[in-house]
Amino acid sequence: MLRRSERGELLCYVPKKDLETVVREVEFDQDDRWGGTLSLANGEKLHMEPMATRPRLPVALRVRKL
Amino acid sequence: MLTQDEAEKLIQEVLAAYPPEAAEDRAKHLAVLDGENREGGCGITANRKSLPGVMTIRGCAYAGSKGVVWGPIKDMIHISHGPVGCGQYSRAGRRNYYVGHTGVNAFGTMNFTSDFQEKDIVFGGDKKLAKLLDEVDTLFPLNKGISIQSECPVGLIGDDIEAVAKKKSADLAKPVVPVRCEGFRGVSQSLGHHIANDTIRDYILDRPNASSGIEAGPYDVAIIGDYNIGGDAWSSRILLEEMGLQVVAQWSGDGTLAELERTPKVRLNLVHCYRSMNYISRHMETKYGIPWLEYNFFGPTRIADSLRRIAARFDDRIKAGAEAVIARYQPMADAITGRFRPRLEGKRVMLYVGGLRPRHVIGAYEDLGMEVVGTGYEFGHNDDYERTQEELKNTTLIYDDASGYELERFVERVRPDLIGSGIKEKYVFQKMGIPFRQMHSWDYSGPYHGYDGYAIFARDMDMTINNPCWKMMTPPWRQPGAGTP
Repeated sequence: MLRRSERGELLCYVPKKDLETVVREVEFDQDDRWGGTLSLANGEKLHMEPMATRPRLPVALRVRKL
Repeated sequence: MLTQDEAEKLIQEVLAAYPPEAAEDRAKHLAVLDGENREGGCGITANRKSLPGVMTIRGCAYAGSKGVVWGPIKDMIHISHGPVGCGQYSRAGRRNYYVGHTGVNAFGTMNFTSDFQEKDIVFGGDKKLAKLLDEVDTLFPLNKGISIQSECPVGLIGDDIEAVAKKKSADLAKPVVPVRCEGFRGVSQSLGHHIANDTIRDYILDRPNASSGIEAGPYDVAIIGDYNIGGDAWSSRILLEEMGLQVVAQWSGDGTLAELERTPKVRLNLVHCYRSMNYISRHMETKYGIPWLEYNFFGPTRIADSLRRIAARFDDRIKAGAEAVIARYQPMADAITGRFRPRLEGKRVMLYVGGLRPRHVIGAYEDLGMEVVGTGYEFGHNDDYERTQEELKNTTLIYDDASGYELERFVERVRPDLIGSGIKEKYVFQKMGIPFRQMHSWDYSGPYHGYDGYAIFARDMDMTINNPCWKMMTPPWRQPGAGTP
């Protein structure tokens, strides 16, 4: 699940691992294309198919571990 | 005060007592936090299975569901489904205060159990459960709903409590919630919180028409994760109400079924215990678009900070209200600090608790001039440790799921002036001659939340640390003939 933190950072929460961490970088960060590889603060990378629009947060997504 | 090197040496010393494999595992749960080591959750591995043979202090999933999340909901009956002991020995232990007539319209301190016998294990307990649900509803007709809290055997023999609950829910026209919180599930009570959150989501919030016809007021908020231990939720609630907010639900201390059902119609969820109720907060954020905010009502510094952060989510009226509340109570808080700080200044504290307290109470101790030299969670996860390191300033020992042996060795060497942990640790450390407060149940005192709670907190800490009895006893290492440890 992705949400904005109070400080405005993009936060990612992985329920299965109970991991909450900052998303450092989103591969595609445009209004008409959003997603791709998410680089997390702990070094892990998650992949999701890019979406056609910028999602409204909070949003629950299905992602794959790279 | 331990230095970084000494603390690391101490950890190595403690680990040396274990067989190599166990030492390797335990090493991941112990760390020293210094000024620089700030990345990635203190470098701790958390929420892992305890090692067999190690004396852990953790509870079970049933404790997390019945004892923490479901238990305090006062107008529902919570059946401990299984043998009698689990419910009886944990009965009313957490002192979740409530108003109501016990046995008439409130059931918080009562123990309901299906009292499994050999025959129920052999032939299954579903029939008994169905009978029990009928009986309980006949005897206590003012209950608003019933939850079935499974104990280990129910899962082991494969009873279908969901089917019974579904049938009886229709018969009684009340929610009957089957909670699959068998004690063996997960590694600690933490999974019990999660299971309980999920059942509230599935059986309460998702009930048809649960909160239909209710319009959200502009200042409606819910207190999430405050279990009203010694009256905590009440001393928090008055502050929020004084600043102009309307608290429509308390989860779950002194809470009711109607309050739970009403929560999807609030403007903001205020989360005190992140560990036990973040799941439902995240669910309500995703499904109903209700934002949530973690706050901390321990000690005046954190209270003022939290009130301002809460007010920032509302309009100027609430912001002015928050400032007024702070201005009203600050002189009282200053007087308390002025009185107790000279008696407590510089005292060192070690904490080993669960949930939110290993980090939330740090601010309150600092307000009293005390410093926290060690802290740890019984059942915290990585996100808890990340939140903890923001609170810590000095070199601090961090221990996750510490064993009895580890705690004793740490305490022997660090020699803190106060230890805050649970009842199982209390007498061990008192016999070592170190003042101790139970920080699970506030040692039968409380409330500790809010400005009113701070007064009691400061008094209790002073009463414990400066108690003359500590001068009258000789700890084992000072007795004649004892070598220096």
